[in-house]
Amino acid sequence: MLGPTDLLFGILIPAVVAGILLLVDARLGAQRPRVRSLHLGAAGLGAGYLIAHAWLVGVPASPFAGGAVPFTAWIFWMVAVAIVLAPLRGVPALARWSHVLYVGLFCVWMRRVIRSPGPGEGADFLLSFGGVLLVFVLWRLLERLAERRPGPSLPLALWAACAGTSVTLLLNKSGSLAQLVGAVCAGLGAAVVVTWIVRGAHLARGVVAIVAIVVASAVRIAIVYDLPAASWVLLAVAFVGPWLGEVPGLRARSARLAGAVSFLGAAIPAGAAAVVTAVAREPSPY
Amino acid sequence: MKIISTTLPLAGLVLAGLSLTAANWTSSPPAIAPAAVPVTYTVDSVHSSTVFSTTHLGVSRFYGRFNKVGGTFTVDSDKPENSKVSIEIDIGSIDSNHKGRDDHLRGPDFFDVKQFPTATFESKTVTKAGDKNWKVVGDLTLHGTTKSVTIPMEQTGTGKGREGEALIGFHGTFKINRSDYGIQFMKGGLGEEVTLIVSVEAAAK
Repeated sequence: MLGPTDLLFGILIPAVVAGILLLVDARLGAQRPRVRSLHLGAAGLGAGYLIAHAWLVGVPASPFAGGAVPFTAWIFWMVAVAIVLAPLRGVPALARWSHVLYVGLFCVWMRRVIRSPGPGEGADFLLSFGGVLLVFVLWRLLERLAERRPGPSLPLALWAACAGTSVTLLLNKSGSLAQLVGAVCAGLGAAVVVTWIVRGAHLARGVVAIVAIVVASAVRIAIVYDLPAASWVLLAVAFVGPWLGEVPGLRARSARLAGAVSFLGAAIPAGAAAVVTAVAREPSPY
Repeated sequence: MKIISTTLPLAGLVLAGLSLTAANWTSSPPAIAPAAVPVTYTVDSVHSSTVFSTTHLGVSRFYGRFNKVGGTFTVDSDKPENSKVSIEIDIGSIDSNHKGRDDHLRGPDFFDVKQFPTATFESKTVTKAGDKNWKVVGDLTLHGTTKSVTIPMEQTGTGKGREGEALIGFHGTFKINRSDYGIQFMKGGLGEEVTLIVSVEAAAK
């Protein structure tokens, strides 16, 4: 149940914060490559997310304070670190390895902090390793697509995938995770508007990092709490879906058609994940 | 005649025996004063209750319970400062009288039992606050967060169990703010303040 203040801090403020920084990136980034290399998208989406997280779930305890840190708290700290480290990806001297190191760091971090009981044993280790690899591949594929395709179609497709993830999590009795992914959706909504009003603008660098960290972590936690396997597989497919708009010849025929295919490629599997979760859920009047 | 003369005394004996048995069943066990030396008791989960309550939509007060509670007490009546309390609650045993809600309460929105399966209380200081009353200050660890709480405990009684073991009972009520323990979900719908009632029966080891 979201009250007016929850909507303000969980949706509106994240959208406004993301919108301002993404607009700066879109306006200045086109003229000055240095601005674009700052990966302002991470700060834009990330700062909005941190505000929403602090309001919806609470400011988490520091991992250095001792004691166990809740699963959800790790998402907060990973996003904070992602914002701080993002500009390093634009340092020319690090250019060759920075992307692999940056993305790899968070993939391994997710594997370490969000683990099912009995980590590192046999099949469980292989599954976790497979999960890390899957997130790494999806993350890098989306970053490549963001570099390649201008306009609002990619942020719109990502918004659809995230919205489907949020509904899926809600149906899996993880309302707080659904709200956290919802805050990312709000930032992506701002990205749609910015890439629509600034002609030729690409999705800001760093946006995909925040989407990947929040969504992958939230889904990983939901898997610990019995999210059906078919649901998370469909969600993974949803984040590959935007590439359907890159089918050879499609964009040359019609950019709008390519955008629609990209959107549907994300929205259909994400919607199917929500339906599968709803069907798998035990009927309950609660 | 012979039958009557032998049956009557027998019936009298049987009646006398029954009345004695009944007297044993109906009278309460003799009260046993707590021993002068420290005695360690183990919590009897079957005869102990951990109940929580909070408000729902600001309309009603809702009650639930944790069905599995364990731990130990060391009671020293002469030197209360030597007394100790250690309680462990299995959070997965939460029972709100609705399976769907119980599953939700076990999940990441509330108790996150996969990561934090138990709540514990470890006393730091125990003082007497009257003949039957104790004040227990200690650390409550819930949802990965440890906070100091004070629990006024009433010693509800002492007695002997089936095998002659010494029994002791305590009852205490205290309040916590759930957000202090990182449980913030449904801020508008569920009360921030949660009342916890701990009523334990423990047997001497």
